[in-house]
Amino acid sequence: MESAPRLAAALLVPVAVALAVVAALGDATAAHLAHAGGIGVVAAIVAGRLLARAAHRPLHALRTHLEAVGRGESPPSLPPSSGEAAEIAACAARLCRTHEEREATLQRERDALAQVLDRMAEGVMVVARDGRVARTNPAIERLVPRLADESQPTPGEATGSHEVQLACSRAITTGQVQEARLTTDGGRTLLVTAAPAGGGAVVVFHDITEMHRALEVRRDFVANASHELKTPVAAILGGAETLANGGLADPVAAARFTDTIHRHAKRLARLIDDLLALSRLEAGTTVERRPVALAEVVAEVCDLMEEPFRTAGVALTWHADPDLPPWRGDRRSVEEILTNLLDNARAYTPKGGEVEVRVTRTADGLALAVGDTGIGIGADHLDRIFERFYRVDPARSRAAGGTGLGLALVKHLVESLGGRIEVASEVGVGSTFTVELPGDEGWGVGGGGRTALRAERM
Amino acid sequence: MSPHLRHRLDDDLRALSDDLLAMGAVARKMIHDALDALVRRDSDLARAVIARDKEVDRLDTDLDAKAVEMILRHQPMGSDLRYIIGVIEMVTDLERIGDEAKNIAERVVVLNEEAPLKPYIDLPSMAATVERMVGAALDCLVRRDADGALAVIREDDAVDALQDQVQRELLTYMLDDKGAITRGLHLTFLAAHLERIGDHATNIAETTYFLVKGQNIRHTDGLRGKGSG
Repeated sequence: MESAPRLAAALLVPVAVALAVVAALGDATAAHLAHAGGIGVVAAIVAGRLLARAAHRPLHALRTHLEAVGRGESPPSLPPSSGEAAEIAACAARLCRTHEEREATLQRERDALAQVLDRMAEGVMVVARDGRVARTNPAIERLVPRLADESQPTPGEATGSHEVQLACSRAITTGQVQEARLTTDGGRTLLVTAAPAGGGAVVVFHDITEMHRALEVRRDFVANASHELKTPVAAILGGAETLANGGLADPVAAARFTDTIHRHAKRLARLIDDLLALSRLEAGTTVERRPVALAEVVAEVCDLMEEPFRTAGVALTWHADPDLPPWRGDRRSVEEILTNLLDNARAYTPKGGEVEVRVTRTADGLALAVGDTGIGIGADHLDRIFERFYRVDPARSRAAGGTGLGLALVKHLVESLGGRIEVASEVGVGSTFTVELPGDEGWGVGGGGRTALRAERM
Repeated sequence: MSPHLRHRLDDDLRALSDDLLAMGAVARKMIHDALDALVRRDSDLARAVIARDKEVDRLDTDLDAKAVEMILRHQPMGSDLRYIIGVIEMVTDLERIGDEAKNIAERVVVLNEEAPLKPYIDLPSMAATVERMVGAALDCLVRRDADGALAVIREDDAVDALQDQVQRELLTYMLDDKGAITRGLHLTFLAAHLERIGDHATNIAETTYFLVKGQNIRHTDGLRGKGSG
């Protein structure tokens, strides 16, 4: 709108000219002319201003409308007006709708991404350019509780690990993916990969605790097995070399060395047998399920054991409930289990002691128990005796020719039959190993054996 | 300081920290590999450790230069200045750790020329402990954990005790058999190198404590709960 002073100035010039002309004309005609002119000018001014205001109204309304839209309010309705303003208003309305649609799409994408991050099992941490943690997902807050305390920490502060800090900053500066390991306060082992992204880094935390443990178990087992194998081999080699180097000449020495070789060769053979049995079990072959008369198996095995037990001076008795239910499973496995348990019982029971085998009916199936009056097992060893190569008394065990794998095998076999094994023991009193076997389907509560093997981590 | 300049200082501080941590990683690896070379009788690995010390020396020179440049350029005050000075001190300790690891590796090469004197049990244990102490000290620096730093400092007593034990045991071997003396001496020195690495790790922890709490506890036994000596 033109400013009032300029308007006034623009009017004053023609008015001044008109007055000058009137003054110059000087008579009545001029006076009429002047009056008419004056009225005309005033009328023109007023009309002009009214017209301007009328033209301005729709623009003003449009401005108010757009301002309201800009603030995000529901705008006042636009009065229908001249074509131009109405079209501008319609165009503005279309722009608004497009903008809203784009916002909605972006929000949906943001929500979808948030859902993915929320549900991931891996922890995710986004590090901004300034080296501080910008975003985390629930998984990482679970794995690394420290993150909840700090606001905008560095990765090192959040995880408490300088290695993670180093990995993140190296990823950002070198533009290459970096790795690090982290052990959390909760004892989990995490593999941390930091990848550069948009000036910062995306850091992913994988929980590899299980895998790590499995690898450790494997490493320990290989180390143990190698050691166990090396010892008898060394003894055999030593004995053979001595005999070859003239030991045969002396009959007493010869007898001694031959005996050594023999004993250790037997031990080696047993060890290899046990190892093979274990690896076969782990390979997961399905086990046979045929009807087995447990009482019969017990009778047979005890019969075979009669002589070794007599030599050791330990009494062996067995007893089976008369009304045992039928049982389906693998006969050889039961023989193996019983043989191993009886061997242990005999080895750890002093002369004059007793070992008893009982087969009884239970609510779910059957129980096979081997009890002895032997030296017993200390409480702190009880939950480890089924581990491979675990020995309560290494010296005694090896002297007795044990491989350290007997109970591990037994446990595997029991589980392959779908059962459970438990041990109760008191030092100086004796031990009882109880094998619980599930009954056949079709009778008993919760019956039904499992034939597929579970690979067991010891 | 204007936000813009503060931003540049922060970037430089972060770069300095990262270089320090990188140096720490190299030093730790050298300790680890040196003992591996002993236990596995791998002289090639030992020689690789000896060569790696040059990397540590280079990092030492670089970091010192960077730190001085930062002081000149930014003229930092208060905790920023303390931090940069702290970094210079820790870099020195890490460089010395590198040297000790190199010394260990040099002795390993000599030791590997003869049969092992005995199964190595205590020395790998000492090495694992001091390596862990270095890592823990750096962790505490990164998360500004003064209590954690104190815990690292207290571990040094156990390291010293283990060194005494190793020394006594080696002495019995050497007294028993003159042929064991050369190896026994090298192993005794090896234990001493490890003990010194433990001391340097302790220094790093002390510097960390200073940076976090503003209190210098280097020569105050009471606070650290240390025994006499």
